[in-house]
Formats: sequence, structure tokens, C-alpha cells
Amino acid sequence: MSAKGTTTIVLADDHQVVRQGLKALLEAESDLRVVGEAGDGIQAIRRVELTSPSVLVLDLMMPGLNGLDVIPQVKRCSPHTQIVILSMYSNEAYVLEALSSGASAYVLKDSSGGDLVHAVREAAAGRRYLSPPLSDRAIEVYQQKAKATTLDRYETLTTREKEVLHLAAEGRTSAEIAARLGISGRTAETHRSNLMHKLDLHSQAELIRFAIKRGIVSIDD
Amino acid sequence: MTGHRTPKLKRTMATHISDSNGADLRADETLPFGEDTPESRAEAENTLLELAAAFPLINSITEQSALSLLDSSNSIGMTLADVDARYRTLVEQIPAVVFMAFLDKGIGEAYVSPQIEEMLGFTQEEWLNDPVRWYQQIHPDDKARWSIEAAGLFMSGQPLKSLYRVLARDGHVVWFHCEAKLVRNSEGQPWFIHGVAFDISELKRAEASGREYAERLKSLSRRLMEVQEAERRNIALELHDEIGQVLTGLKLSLEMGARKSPEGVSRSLDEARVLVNELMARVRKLSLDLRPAMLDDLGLLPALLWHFEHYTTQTQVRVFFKHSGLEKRRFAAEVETAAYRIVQEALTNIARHAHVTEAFVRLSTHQQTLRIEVEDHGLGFDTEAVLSAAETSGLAGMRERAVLLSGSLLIESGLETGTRLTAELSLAGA
Repeated sequence: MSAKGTTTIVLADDHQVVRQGLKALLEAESDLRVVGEAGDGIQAIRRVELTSPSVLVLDLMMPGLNGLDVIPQVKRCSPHTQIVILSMYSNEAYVLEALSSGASAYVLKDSSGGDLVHAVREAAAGRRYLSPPLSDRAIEVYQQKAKATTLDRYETLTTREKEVLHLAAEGRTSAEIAARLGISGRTAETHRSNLMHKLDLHSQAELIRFAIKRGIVSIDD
Repeated sequence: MTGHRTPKLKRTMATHISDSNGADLRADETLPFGEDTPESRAEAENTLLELAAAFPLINSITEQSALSLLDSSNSIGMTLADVDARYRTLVEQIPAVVFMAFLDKGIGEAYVSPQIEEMLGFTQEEWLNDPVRWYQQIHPDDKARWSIEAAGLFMSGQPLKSLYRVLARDGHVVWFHCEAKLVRNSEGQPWFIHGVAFDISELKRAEASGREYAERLKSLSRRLMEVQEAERRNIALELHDEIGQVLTGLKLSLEMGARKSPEGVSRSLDEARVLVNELMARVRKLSLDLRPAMLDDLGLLPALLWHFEHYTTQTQVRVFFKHSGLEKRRFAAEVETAAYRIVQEALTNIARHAHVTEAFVRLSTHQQTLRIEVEDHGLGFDTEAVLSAAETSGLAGMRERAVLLSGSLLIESGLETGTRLTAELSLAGA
């Protein structure tokens, strides 16, 4: 933030038309002043280094170095510069990525001009801002979805493979399993090796250990 | 060389004829099998006799040539037996069949090296004892050509260099590359023929699999072009119908606005703003449908999550997704693309054919492998039938993607039991 409460801004967008539009929009506000423009990621970083603005308005998708890559570099060379992301994508994954890289605000390109002005002021004041319909809540929901689930490998077995696993865990040979299920010995052998592969088991001992842990067979059996 | 007992071909034939037959026989050590019916035997004999009849008399060859050989070996202190033993040891170590037949001594004076057994399953004795065996073993489609080429060798002494298919005892085809020459005695008369036959079946198999790959490549590039054209057609249509129409509307709004009173202008501008928003949404959708930028920008997991949401909205099929080892992880671009497209295609198939409201997707990493499973509990299909028609279906494309990444694709499906697709992609680099 420069003197007399004026917020200085660098604009980075690869389309000149868009930059012109944004500049006109922002400079219509008396407290906002555009001090530099950039047409790609690398230029954006240089402009920020040179002018050390209060806010960088950054298009997420640019050729060469895209917005997501620019954020951490800007944060490094001018830590006090707040970043407002301008994006076509309302997808939470992008928002999350941008915010966790260090952006303060995320504005959708199809939101109103007033929204951008608001976002710039909020960011300059050190607050976080997301364009509606984006919300912290939606981002939390997304984060939940993206979290790794404990994948139950047993679920990945086919019904036949489960049957073979049960019989094998009881210590039956492939021949016995085949007879029991009315399939050929070779097929039984194939099921057995497939299921071991899927469960990442490498020996009969491991198979039994897995079966006990899963409660497929009990130890007293 | 070595003497062998041989049942006489046709006792009534003049000596010179059975001589020449003997020659023919030996030339073909190289060739194998066929069933031994009276008809095939008669056919074999006929062919051989015709050939022999056309063959000039070679009766007159004297014993002299053989004697002179003996003389020369004597002169360097070797007996004929020594020569024979040395020659034989050498010949029987070559990984090929060596054969020889005198044209002046009748059918019994022939030789075929014992390697014949390993290649065709007939012993040296069996081979030599049955004078028409070798002819019968020539592949039916190669018999006519052999007759012509062998006639050239016997009659004009033109060296033979050719490929023949020969049937082994168990009926499998062995490819031989044969080379044979006619040797004349000092008087210029045909004396004996000798030659060598190499088993080139391995080479032929490699050739066939090479051809098969070429075929597959051709069919794939054809499909690639078709797909590209279809894609272009879709984009052109989309641009024209969806975006072009909205742009026209926008232009009209703006033109109208210019002719209106100040209040009218503001209404026109509002209309225009609505149209522009719609336009932006359509462009965004078009661009995402073509290729989700997210896949490049953020990776597989966010792109899939986005796709599931989008898919459910469009198809009303809910996706139950589980994953491990993907979070905050990037794979090689080709792996991410292949995984994304395989899941996308599998889900599209489910929406089209399975008649279900739920689909299950699981992704996990195991050491150097990314495993993808897409499952439904719907109608299922006959995998054999669909995969054999795979040329044109999306399944072939999925499989190709997996194979390119040193992976595999397995489809398990049964009518009424649902379908499970399992793909494994190598993360180690293709």
C-alpha cells in the first residue's frame, strides 16, 4: 500500500483487451491505481519486483508460466504483495490450489466488475475473499472428497475370488478348491494368483494372516 | 558316403529312373509330412517319376570318380573311413539338416543328417527308409513349386535356393530355407546333389507377428483419423450452433440498444450481459469437454473429481469413488491422461449400457503401478463378443492406452452380474 491510502496494482493477463477492460474498471475507483501490466507469468514477476505493488491481479491461465506457478514466486520476491486470482474456473480444486499457494482472493471472470473491485480492497486490507458462489464451506467439502480413502483391497475381489480366498484360507489346495467350486484346477489356480496379486500377498502364510485379520477365518478353526 | 537300406520305389522301373528318384528324394530331406494314404503315395510317386522321366540318363557314370577320391585321400595318409568320420562329425554339429544323394547309385545311397529328428520328429532311419516320405511331408501348397524348382536343379543343374513349408510328425509346420546343388563328375555327368536346410520357423513367426503389428497399427491410424474427423465435426457443430447463435443474439441486442432511448439502452445492455455470461459458460464447457485443463494444471485426482460431478449431473449416475496414493501426487502426463480417459470411457459405457444409477471407481497405487477399477452392478455383456468387435469400440482404445504404458486392461463381465474393468498402468515409465 502506497501513500495516502492509494492501493497500487499490477495487472497480469495474457489478453490485452482484458487488461484494458480491467484497468478501466479499477481506475474508475479513486483509491485504486494500476502501476504496471504484464502479458505473461514471467513479466508479472518482473513487474512486481520492480514496482512492489499492494496487489497483483493475476490471470490463472497464462501461456508459459501460468498463474499457479507465479504465486509462490511473487510471494517470495515481494511478500507484502497480496494476490487476487482471476479465473474462468469455479472448480474448488483450482481455488484450493491457488489459496494454498498463497493467493488472498479468487475472483471468477464472469462475476461483476464490482466483485473484482471489492476483492482488490479486501485483499489489500489483508483479508481473504472468494467470489460467489465460491465459499470456504465448498472448499472444505472438496478437501474432504480429495482426501485419500483407505481403500479396502478385499472389495476389489470378484465374488469368485472371494470364494477362492475363503477356501484357500482354510488351507485347501487348488485341486480341492476346484472340486468344491466345480471349476478346473487351472482356473482355481488363476483365481488364487489374481487375488494374491490384488491383495498384495506373496505367500500362503500372508494369505492366512490377511484372512484372520479380516475375520474371514478364525484362529480356532 | 553312408549306405542305407531303402525299400524300392518301383521295382519295375529302369535303373536310371530309380536313380534319379533317389536323387530327388535326398534333395528333400528338408521336407516333412502328410498322411500316408494310398492316394497320397500314388501322387507322390507319380510326381517323382515324372520328374525322373524328364531327367537325362545318368547311368553311365563310372566308378572312377569314387576311386579317384579314395586315391587322393590315400595320398595324404587318410583312409576313406577317416574322411567319412570327419565329415560326419562336422555335418552333425551344424544346426541345420544336411542332405546328399548320389544320382548314379540308386535310391539307397543317400544321406540325411540326424538333426532331422529334432526338427521334424522323424528319425534319420524313418526318413531314409521311406522313399516318398519327404515328398509327402511337403506342405500341400508348396508341392507344385517344389516340383518345378527341383526339376530345375536336376535337369539344368541350376542351384536351388528356396523356402518350403514342411509338416512335422505331429503336423506342425516347419519353415525351411533350402539350398542344394548338383555336382557333376569329371565327364560332366550329374553325379550327386547335396544341400542344407535351415529351420527358419522362428524367423517366420517373427515376421508374422511383425505383420500383425503392422496391421494393428494401420487399423489404429485409420481409427485415429476417423476419431479426429468426428471430433472436428463435433467442435464445428458446437461452435456454429451453440456459440454462433448466442453471438448472433448478442450482436442483435447491441444493435437494438444503439437505436434506443437511454432507458432502452440499459435494458439492451442487461440482455447483452446475460448473453455474454451464457457465452462464457459454453466456451468453458466446450474447452473442458475437449480436455480438462485441470488434468495438466492440477493432476489426475482433481480432474477426476471434477469429471464425476459433471458426469453425475449429466447422467444421473452416482459415482462412488475411493482412492489411495493419489493425493498431492503428480504422475507422468501420459499416465494421467490415460488414466483419466480410461475412467471417462468406462463411465460413459456404464451410462450407456449398464442401466444403473451407481458406479464404483477405485484408484490406487501399488509400488510402480497405478491400478484403476471401474465397476457397475448392471446388465453386463458378453466380453468375448464385444472384445472381438473391439476394433471399433472404445474398449480397444482403452486397451491400447494401457498397453502403451506397459500396462494391462482386464474386463470381467457377465450378463446380469455387472461389469468390472481393471486397468494397470506402469508408473516406471513406458
